[in-house]
Amino acid sequence: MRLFLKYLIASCFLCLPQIASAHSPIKGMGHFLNGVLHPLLVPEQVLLLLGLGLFYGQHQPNQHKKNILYFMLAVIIGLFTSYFLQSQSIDISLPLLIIALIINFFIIIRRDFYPPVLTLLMLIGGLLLGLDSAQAELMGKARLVTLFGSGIGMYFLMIYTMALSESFSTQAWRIIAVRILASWLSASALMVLALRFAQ
Amino acid sequence: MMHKILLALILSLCIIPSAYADLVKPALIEIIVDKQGDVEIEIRASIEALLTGINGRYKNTKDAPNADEYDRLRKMSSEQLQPEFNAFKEKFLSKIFLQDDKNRKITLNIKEVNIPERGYTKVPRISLIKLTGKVDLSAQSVQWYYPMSFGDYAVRLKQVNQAKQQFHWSEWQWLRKDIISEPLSLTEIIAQKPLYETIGNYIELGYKHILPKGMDHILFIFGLFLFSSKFRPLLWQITMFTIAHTITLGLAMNGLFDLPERIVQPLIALSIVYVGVENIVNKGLKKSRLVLVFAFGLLHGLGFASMLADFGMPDNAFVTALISFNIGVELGQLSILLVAFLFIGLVFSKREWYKPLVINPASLLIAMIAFYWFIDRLEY
Repeated sequence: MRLFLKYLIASCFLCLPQIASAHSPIKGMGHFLNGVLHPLLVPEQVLLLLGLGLFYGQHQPNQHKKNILYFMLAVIIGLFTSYFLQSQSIDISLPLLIIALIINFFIIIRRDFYPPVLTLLMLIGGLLLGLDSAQAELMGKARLVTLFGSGIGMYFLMIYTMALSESFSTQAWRIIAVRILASWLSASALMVLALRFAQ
Repeated sequence: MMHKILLALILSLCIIPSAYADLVKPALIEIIVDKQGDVEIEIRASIEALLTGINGRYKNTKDAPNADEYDRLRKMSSEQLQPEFNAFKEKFLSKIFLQDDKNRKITLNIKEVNIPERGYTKVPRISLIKLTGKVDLSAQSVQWYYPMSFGDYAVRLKQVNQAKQQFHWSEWQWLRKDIISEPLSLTEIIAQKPLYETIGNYIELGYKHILPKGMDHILFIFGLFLFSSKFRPLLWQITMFTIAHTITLGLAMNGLFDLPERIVQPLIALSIVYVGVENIVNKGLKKSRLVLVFAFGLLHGLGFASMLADFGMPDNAFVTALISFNIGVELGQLSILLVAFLFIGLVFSKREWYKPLVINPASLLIAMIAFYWFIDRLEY
């Protein structure tokens, strides 16, 4: 039965590339799906969300559920603020990359944060992610629907990674695999940071 | 806990102005031809949608660029809307046509336009436009064209033999593309569609009513799934819901029971709010939940019936069409459950944090959207 389910899921994933296009084939769902996909297409957002997912997965997510909910609350506040902001004068990607680097670094060294520091990082990170999600060319309802989709996309990207990371938190070799993945993410964040400074 | 949820629901009124649930329904067109070649065409459609170019491609009327104009027209009385349509008559007639088998266009004139008084504003006001014309007696068949810019439509033809007091309806043709209809025969008793075609059409209709058009039903089923992804409680809830909506769908389609949409639609939204809230506050499956799911199923059945009534039912295969529609609805529900199981249940349901981090946020979101719908559907 489990084998059958695995094949079924694998078959479903084969259908995904068709759905993940810039212009949604589902009428009326274009802006929402674009929003869902947005976190996947922005490097600093992917690096931070994957990092958070990996981090919580390695540190008993059930004990961090409040922090995760604070994080989502901060994301929602950020999303609504960005709805009303017409343009951003500050480059948000820089602090996002720095937070992603810190989180991934802590996964590599297998250390937990001092709780208030983690909460603060979650609040700042969530707020910045929300602020970074507005698409300048969209206005009104289209903008709102896209932001709504972005919120959903961010949350699912994080908790899917968290679930995967949690499954990889029991055996030594699995933990090492997660740390290697985190080191790649750190390296990527550093590289993007370096490129930003070089520009 | 309860007051926090209520607060969140009230806040939702301010933060989700994008959640609407109106959609334009397809036009129903009946062509009546008698032995003398006199043609009368009855078009049942939303004049507001015709005037603003809003058609079925918009899942929600508020997605359309002319949504404000549509709402303005929707609020007009029938006397106020009449002159608006009078100015549109010429354009309307220039875009539609009826032609015979020798490609001769039949001149059509507007005989009458009946616009009902505005009722419940959450469902389109269906007006009746009557056209007349004369078909050449040598014609063997006619074909009808109604542009896609006016929306999807269904057309059928009635042959009338006044001398013998006989008439015969053709099957409905549903057109969802910008093409002319199949020929509608004038000379012979039109062959009935094979049974499998009727079954296929109504299964498709039922399925599409759930996926992707029935956002409220999707949220309701998803809410049931979130309550428990274990097989037994889910089976009980879905069975109760299915039995209940089958009962009211059957009763309503037979004209034995009905409730106005202005009552049914807000209650459907409220049922989704309830399911979302109960997912958060209750832990195990109780009998009261099953009773409520059954009651909500009765309501949703009335919602299905109003949609099915708009399409009409074949006189010769009423029961078959009804059962097929219901099968389509069930397949739609099962698809939602399958997707939810694969992407949520299978991945998260065994985890300690499934309830606080998946069920609760998702249920709250469902309740907030549905609460907005509830308030929105109370408007007149």
